[in-house]
Amino acid sequence: MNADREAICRIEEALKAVHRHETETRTDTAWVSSVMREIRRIGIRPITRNSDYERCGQLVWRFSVLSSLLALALTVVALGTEFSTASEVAKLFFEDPLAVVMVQSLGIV
Amino acid sequence: MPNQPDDDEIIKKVLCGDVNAFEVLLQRYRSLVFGIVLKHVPRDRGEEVAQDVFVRAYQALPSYAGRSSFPRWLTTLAIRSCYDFWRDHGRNRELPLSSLAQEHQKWLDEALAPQSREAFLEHAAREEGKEILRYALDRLSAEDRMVVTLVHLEEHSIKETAELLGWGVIKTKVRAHRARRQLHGIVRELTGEGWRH
Repeated sequence: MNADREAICRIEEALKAVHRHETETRTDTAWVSSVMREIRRIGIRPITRNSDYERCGQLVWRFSVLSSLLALALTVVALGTEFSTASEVAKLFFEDPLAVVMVQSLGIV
Repeated sequence: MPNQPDDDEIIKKVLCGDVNAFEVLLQRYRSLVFGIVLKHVPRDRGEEVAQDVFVRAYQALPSYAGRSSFPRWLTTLAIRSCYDFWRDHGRNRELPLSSLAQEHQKWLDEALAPQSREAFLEHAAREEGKEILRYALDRLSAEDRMVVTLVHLEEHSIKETAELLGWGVIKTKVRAHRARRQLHGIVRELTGEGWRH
C-alpha cells in the first residue's frame, strides 16, 4: 500500500515537473494586430463606466443576505411572542374602545 | 530609455477613449498572459484564449478601478478564461488507455526509477510526459482540472486559488481534495497492469 502511494507521489512529482517545463510560444506581430483589430471593432465602450442604476443594483444584492436573515429573525421573534392580529384587536377593544372606532373608521382593520 | 507611462496612466487614457493606448498594455503583458494560458489550454488554442483574455480585459477595464495591481487582475482574467475554455469544451472521458503507447509506459517506469535531479528534469521535459499529463487532465471536469493544476501542479495556496477562480475557500478546499484523489486514481490506473500491452 505504501509502495503504491510512493509510486503515485513520484509520478505526481514528475507530472509537476512536466507542467513547469511548458515553454512559452513567441507571439508575432500578426497576433497583436489581430487583437487590436478586435479591440478597435469593439470601440470606445469602456468609457461608459457603471451607471448609478447598476451601482444601486449591486448595492441591493450586497445587502440581500443580511435583509433575508433579518426577515427570518423577525419571523422567529413574531412566532415566539404568539402575536396574532385578532388577539391584538380584541385587546385594543377592551382597553380602548374609542381607538377601535377610530381605527375602523380609517379602514385600517 | 524614455519614461514609460505606468499602467494606471494608460488605463486612464483608454477609458477616455484612446483605444490605441491599449496596445501598450497588450505588448507589456502578452508574455504574462501567454505564460499562464499555455499552461492550461492546448498550445494550438493558446492564441485564441490569450486574445479572449485581452478582449475581456478591455471590456472590463471600467470595473478594474485599481483595486489590485493590473498584472494581478489580468492573471485572474487569464485563469478564468482558461476555466471557461474547459467548461465550453468539456472533458474527454472516452479517451482509451490504449491511446497511450509503449513509450508512455517507459516514461512512467523511468519516472519511478531512482535518478539524479538533472536526469529527472530532463526526463520530465520529454514529449511522452506532456502527453501523459494531457491524458490525465483531459479525464477531469473543468473544475477539477483547474483546481488540480493550480493547487497541485503550480502549488498555489487554497486562498489564492479561490481568488483566481472566484470560488469560496471551502469549495476550493473540498474540490482540491476530491480532484487530487481522482488524479491519483488515474495515475494508479496508468501504473497498474491494466493497460500494458
